[in-house]
Amino acid sequence: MKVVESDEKLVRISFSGKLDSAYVSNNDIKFFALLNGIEAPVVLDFLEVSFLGSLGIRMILMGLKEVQRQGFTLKIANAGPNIRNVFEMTSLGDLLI
Amino acid sequence: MNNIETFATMVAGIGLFFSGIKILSSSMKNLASQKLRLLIAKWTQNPFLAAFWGFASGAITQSSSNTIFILVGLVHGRLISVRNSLPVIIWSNVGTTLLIFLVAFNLKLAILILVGFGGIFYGFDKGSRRETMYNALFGISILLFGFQLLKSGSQPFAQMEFIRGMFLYSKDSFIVSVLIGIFLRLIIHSSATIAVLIMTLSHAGLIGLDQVILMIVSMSFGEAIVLGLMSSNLKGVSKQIIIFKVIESVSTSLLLLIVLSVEFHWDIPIIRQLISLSSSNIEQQTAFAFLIFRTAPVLFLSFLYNPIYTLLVRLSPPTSEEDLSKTSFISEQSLSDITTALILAENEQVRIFERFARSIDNVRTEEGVELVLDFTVIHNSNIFLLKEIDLYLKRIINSNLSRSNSEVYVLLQNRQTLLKSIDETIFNFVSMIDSHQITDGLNNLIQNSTESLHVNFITALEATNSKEQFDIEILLQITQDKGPLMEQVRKFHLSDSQMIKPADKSFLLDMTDHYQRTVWLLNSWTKTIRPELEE
Repeated sequence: MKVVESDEKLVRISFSGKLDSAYVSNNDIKFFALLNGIEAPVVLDFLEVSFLGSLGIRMILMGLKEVQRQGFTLKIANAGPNIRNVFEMTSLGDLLI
Repeated sequence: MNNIETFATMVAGIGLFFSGIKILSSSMKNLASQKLRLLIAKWTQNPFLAAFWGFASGAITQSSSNTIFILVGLVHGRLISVRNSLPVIIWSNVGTTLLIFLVAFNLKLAILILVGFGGIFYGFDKGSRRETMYNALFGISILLFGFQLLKSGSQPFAQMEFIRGMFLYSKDSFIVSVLIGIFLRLIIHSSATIAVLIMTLSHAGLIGLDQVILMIVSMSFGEAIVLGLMSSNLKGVSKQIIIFKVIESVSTSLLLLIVLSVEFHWDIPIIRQLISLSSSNIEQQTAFAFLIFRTAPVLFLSFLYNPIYTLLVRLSPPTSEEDLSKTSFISEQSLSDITTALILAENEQVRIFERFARSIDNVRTEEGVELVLDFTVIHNSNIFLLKEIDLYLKRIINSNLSRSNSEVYVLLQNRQTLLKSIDETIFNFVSMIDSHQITDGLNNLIQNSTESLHVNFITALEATNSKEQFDIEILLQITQDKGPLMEQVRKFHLSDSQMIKPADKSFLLDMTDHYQRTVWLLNSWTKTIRPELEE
């Protein structure tokens, strides 16, 4: 997970690999630290994400809560078909994609 | 009396005796399942009343094993603790001696009158409130009359050459008498019944006092084997009762056998001497031998309840199901303040709710998922805990509720209904995935369904605890009606015969149906969070 773009118009964070339980337990603090004090809408780039587990979804939802609290939006970009299916199953597609 | 008549009299006596035992036991089981169980549960908190109930239970059912299995049921149902049941077990042994004394004394006339009146009441009663009592009375009279017949038939029987020869073989053998005692207990369920049979043999002169004592003392080894076999499916706390009974039986028998060996070998007057001095009649001596054998554990185990209980917990610790079935918040004492009681009931419900995500963990394919609890264990303990909460809520509704408490009560009742449905649906959902041979065509669907349901549950738990607007809105979003989506999924998979095998079709329909239902139930759960938010 890294910030690939950050200016007054957009904060773009890219993810890669599997967003599973192990990933979340190692990276959630870093993720929330990145979102703390943002000054622009956030886009999560999922181009290189191959798996999205339940705890990964939960982390994104917590991120959404944090970003909305600061008055901005959070969206996901470049999600592949498998990831889109997950969002469809959870009815989060309209909200996040 | 010729041989055929002797044989027929004995067969009739045995038949009546066992019929009497059966009528008595079954009528007492009815009583035990209704009032006696509740009374035992309440009274066992006092050790003296526990001892009394043990004695009464042994005397009524004429089998300490029956008492044991009633106690296993009560302990399993959390009506009494294992520690409180220990005096009941010990004293139920003593209770079983009552019948033996009734049999040992010559009450021929009284028995005939009892059979007459017992039979009249039994025959003419048509389902009155006293039916159980009449049945028990008739059972006792038949049993005693059967024994009288057996006794009268046994004397000529004992004169037969081959019978005398058979028992003569065991007359001088310590070991053979012990083995006969064990064997009799293996094939006959009631120790008291065996004592009566031994009494018959001694009455007929087939065995002497030494054999009587050895057979009575050693039959507990047989009882330990029977209990071990009958309880092989028990685990945890319920098994502690059985282990205690086995410890009690084996230790008593061993101790008495050692004392008897010393007495027989060195001719030191101890137990045998005491029994022979108690009466000159062999039947009454048999009854005293049985009494001593049954009372011995009271003398040496009554002071050891606490260390024995510690040992039982170590030998058979509570299973995870028993641990999960324990209530953490609700208790009898907390009912004194209704507002607090309602908060505690809600906490107990949330405790059940947070287990659903752990059930789904059983079928999540994600690497690194830590499986802590089996879904069947979770389901079984949830059923038990939900019943406990039901009873607790019933107690609450019986008190005067304020308007605000009434609203909370209705909310908790709704949650209770939802919890039962969610528990059943999740159990079925996980069971079907767990037992199905999943083919490649369905792999992605199952993974997405389980991950999706998992996130639904952890989000619902968070919303339930936080009651924050954002969490509730997200929960409502993810628990939208999944009907149209599942319809698409079914059509997509069923139309492609290469993707799905024929055997998977019904699985697909069931699985998607359960998925859809669980999400719908979670949506209903979300609505039970809202009122508190609006307040």
